[in-house]
Amino acid sequence: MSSRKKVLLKVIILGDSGVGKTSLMNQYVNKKFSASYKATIGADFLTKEVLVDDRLVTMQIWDTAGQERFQSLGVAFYRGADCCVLVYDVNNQKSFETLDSWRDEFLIQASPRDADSFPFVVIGNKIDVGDNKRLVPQKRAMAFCQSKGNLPYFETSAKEAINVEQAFEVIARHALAQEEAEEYTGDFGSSTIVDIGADSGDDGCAC
Amino acid sequence: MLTAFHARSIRELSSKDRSRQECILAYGDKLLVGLNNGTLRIYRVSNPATPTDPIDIECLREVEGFTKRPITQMGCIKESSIIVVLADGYVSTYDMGSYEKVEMLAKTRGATLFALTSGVERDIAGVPSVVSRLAVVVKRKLLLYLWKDSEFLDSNEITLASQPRSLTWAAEGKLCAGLSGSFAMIDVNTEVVEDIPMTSSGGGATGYLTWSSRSPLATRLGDDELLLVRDSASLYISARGDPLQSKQINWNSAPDQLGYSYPFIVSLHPHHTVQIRNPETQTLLQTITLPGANMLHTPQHNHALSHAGKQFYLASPTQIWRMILVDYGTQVNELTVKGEYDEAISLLEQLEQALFEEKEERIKEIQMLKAEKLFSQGKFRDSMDLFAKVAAPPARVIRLYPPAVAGNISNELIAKAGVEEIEEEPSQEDPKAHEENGSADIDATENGDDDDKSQAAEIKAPSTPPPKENGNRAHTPDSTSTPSKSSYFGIPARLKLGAGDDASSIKSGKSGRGESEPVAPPSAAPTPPPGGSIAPPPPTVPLKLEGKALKFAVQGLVSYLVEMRRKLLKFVKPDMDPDALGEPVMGQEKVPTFGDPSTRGASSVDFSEVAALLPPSRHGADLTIREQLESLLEMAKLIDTTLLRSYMFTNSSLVGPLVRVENFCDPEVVHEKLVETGKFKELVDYLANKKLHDKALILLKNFGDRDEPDEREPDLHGPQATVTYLEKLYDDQLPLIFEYSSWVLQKDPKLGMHVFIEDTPQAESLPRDKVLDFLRTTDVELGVQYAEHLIKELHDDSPDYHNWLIEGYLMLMKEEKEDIVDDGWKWKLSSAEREQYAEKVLKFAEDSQQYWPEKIIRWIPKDDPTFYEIRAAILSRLGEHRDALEIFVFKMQDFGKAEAYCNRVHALSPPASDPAETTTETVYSILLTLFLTPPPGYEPQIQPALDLLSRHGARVDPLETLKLIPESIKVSDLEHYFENRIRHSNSRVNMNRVMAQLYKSEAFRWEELNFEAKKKAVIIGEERVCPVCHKRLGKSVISVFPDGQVVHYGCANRMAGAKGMEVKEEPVLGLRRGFGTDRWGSPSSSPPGWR
Repeated sequence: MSSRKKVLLKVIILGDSGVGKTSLMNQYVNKKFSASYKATIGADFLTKEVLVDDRLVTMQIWDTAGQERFQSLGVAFYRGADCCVLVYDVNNQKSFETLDSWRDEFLIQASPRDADSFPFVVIGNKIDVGDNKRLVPQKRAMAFCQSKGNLPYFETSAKEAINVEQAFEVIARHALAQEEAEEYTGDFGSSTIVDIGADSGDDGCAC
Repeated sequence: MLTAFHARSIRELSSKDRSRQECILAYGDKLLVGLNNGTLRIYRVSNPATPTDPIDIECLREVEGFTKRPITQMGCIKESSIIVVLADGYVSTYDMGSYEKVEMLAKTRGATLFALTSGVERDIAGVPSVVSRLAVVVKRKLLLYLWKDSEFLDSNEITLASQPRSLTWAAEGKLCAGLSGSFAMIDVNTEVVEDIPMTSSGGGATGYLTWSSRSPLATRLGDDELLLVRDSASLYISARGDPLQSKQINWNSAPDQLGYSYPFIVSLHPHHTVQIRNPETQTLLQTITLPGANMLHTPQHNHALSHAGKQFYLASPTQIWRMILVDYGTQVNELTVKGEYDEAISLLEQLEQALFEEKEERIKEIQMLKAEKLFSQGKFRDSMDLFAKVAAPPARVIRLYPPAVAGNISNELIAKAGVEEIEEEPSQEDPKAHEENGSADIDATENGDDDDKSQAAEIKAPSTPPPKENGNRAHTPDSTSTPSKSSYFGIPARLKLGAGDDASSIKSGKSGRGESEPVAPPSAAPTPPPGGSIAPPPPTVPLKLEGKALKFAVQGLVSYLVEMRRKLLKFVKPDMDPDALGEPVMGQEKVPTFGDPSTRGASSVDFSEVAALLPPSRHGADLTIREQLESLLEMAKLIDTTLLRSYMFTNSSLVGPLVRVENFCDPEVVHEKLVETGKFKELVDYLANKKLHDKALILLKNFGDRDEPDEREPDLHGPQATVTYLEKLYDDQLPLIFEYSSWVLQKDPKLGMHVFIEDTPQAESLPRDKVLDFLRTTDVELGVQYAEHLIKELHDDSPDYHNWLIEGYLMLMKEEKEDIVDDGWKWKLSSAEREQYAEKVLKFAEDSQQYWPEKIIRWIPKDDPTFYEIRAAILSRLGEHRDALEIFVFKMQDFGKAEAYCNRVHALSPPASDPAETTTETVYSILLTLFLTPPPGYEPQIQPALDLLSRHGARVDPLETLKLIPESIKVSDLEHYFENRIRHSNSRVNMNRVMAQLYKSEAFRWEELNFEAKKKAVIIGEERVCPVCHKRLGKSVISVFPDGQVVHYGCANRMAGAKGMEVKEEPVLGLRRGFGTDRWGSPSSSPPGWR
């Protein structure tokens, strides 16, 4: 039943300012890249329809402000997110080190039902800059992803459109899986006391 | 359900008086009453200070025969001091002072209705002026007049589809007419008539079919809205005529007359019933029945001041009532006490700030009450969203929860202390009886009011969800705050608790400690004065939350806490110390106080938001920045600590993220909770976040350094966790790194070394000398590993490390050699390892250029064969080739190595520019000397010497060699040497010849080039001018460019600049007329280099 329903996947992109969140989104959705930098204020989203395993889903990709003073997003913004993309700049050590706190902040804000299994995808961007300027070795990034529960890891260049498609394909897949898991267990957000567990159990059996 | 107005009868015609009242008009303190016999009575009505004060009414004048027939309608234009009267089918104007007729508008014969408006309008040029307009209905026609220079001027006439039955001015120059079938919006300037579509949904009947005799009604609401009513259908439109919302007023009977008395809709219904409604929520607030009432007079809309008319009049043929508005504060209190929070909020929102000073605070307060009610109904998410929206003080929200979540400020704890005695008293009260009691007191004139009230209550009842069973009596309306004396008795002790509780929660917000014994401040106990700003906080007996309900409730709380936390984090950081701030001067405090550099911009802008977060009673202007900050920090602590408890309760996997990010959690609670649940990993993260590294590391050691994994946190067993932790520390934690890496290094040296040699910014930040000192005192081998890392990976060229590395190698080798007793955890080296080190040290001694051989040489034993080669290598570095070779030749008897040594030295020495090789030749000479004339005790080594000579003879000075060769050696043995030697000399001679010839031919080539250049000539005639300065060249010194251009010598630089060429440094000047010198070159034209 649920598979007939049109699925909207909410994907949130987080990371330090200037790592290329907006560029990644623009590259993926619009296939465009602009070299000029403009700080994102608040949040902005683009949608894209994609096929995931022969299912048409709409991805709503939320690009957020990396700069602290532009962050004005409340809890409501994070609610219902299906996947969180953590972006860092491979040429910027600090942007990598803050990934962990971005992840933690997201978990706190979004309060997903099962924080341990919530899908995150890590993207190391700006690999086009060149190996000699690179400060975060792939090995260390992989180790980080490993330690956080085998997060999928991609190295991309929004400028050269390297790996962007592949990364978002995986993002969509994970988001869809999460959406379906949420649907199954039900969003905890219902305001009245309903025995949700039992309800969804019935649904499961009926299928 | 609410007492918004009191109906006060101010005038009743005596039963003898046969006249009947037909029409009334009120303005200022005047009240004009038109009687059926054409008499006009003028009264002055006093304005009572309070709703209960007596109202004085005084008949000022009675104008008999004011009109021939009864007055149909009256209106006034205050600005122009005229009264407009419709009587006997004509509209006439009267003077406001003398009540004498000024003018009768003759064209209005047969008029049935008129509408007046005055307001500021802008003319074409945009100049504002007060304009009064009059619209009169005569059959289907609409006559429009404009008041100008003390008379009405005809402006225009518009004919409509049917006769208007109501007329209401909307916006500037817009008129809304209720026609028989529909409403129309008429623009008086353009004469455009637009139909306003009105779907009649009320009662399911369409207007066309059930068009009753009732007039279509319209009234203006506030500044830019109109309400249209036809039968039971209603429509809100904007002043321009666009339909607004689809909200429908649920009339229980269609109204006969409609009006607006800020901020309420007033309607007169059949059976003389007046209904008061909230235009926003459409809720029926009050129903008053006044016998015989058939006239409703609401104040004329005033453009400048929509709230000007707060009171209105009702009249029956024989009686007049003045409706007196109850103080807004009292109304709000009443609604609040009854739990009608939405109504109270809606009312407050419509009121202008000027009318209600603490409007925002009250709205916030009532929203919090509403949220508490939602909470008690189990609508946790909605409740918490509302709390978050108004940024309710966290203490107030959190105390709703049981101690497991709320800690010691939980209501349950507080309630336990005194709930028994408190519960009894109110339960004896009958709220219903009480309510009747209260309302009867208020209004002596209302009859049968109670019935209507209960009717209204019935209508309202279904929309109010029935309270939940648990502890919900708290929210049944007590109506204690109606300003009647009887209610004093009714104040339950519980209410006092509520007030005290509130205060204590605020206090606890500051002190961070919940009071278990709230003390009610005496001032909070009595009923608040009418209009007072303190609403009695509803008694909040804690809902007994259990099981799944509690879980949902806590999930709701989490979203509230997270939202609050986000707001707070803009202003405070966990490492802020209010004590360090001092008392900064206002004006410059903002930046340094909330001066985390990253948030500086935001915090200085949004400082006002801080005040919004603080408890309302505390954000007085006298609070210093420091106090504000302190209370914010306390609040943050409460929020985060509760958030932690909530996570423990519902979603423990989020505890980790919380303790890892910036947080204000109470360390004791964190410790207790995490230990209790065995979340030691999270505890370590927390300690790390709080920079309590020593505690974290002790914990890690306790878990890691044991034989069996602790079943509570088996993952922490072993050194890995400690290593991961230490890897994240920078050099400022150096003592800790040393202290806690010891046990790891002992247990798993390889893993432990990651702390120091990993390719991370942290490891690289550590001071190398100190780390090396630490490691080499821990274990020489670790020191060696580290030094190797420094030199090979990090390319550190400090001689100290190079020296020490050799020293370390040597120590390791000696250790084995001297068989040092194992002192605990050093390990012995196998011979293979020792050889490995020997190789390493040899290679290093040969490769490294940084160590100090003078120093090293002293550490190397002279007579240990293991060290022979090493010693030789170092002697070589010292330039002591003889000593080095002696080792090879005499101690090791390894001539091959000796020769290899010579080759190496030879190769390393700089290529001799001088053909007569000097220095390096001596290496071979030294070796030869050692072979042939050894020191006493050693045999001369003839054969190796001969081999050496035959291979490297050319590199040894022949004369010296011959001197050294003992006479016993046959010449034939030296054949190889001589042959080699001669060949070598010949080749050199030949080489030199070739070179000489080559140089000679090169010289010729240059001479030829020179000649060619000199042959070049230019002709300077009388007329030839310099292309730069355009003067004749004449006999001056000239420069000739390669392309043949000739310029003055002085102009050459400018010409060169234009051509992009460079002037050669030392020009050769052409001194003779007719000859220029080529002193120009461009990079491409330089001849190939010759040596």
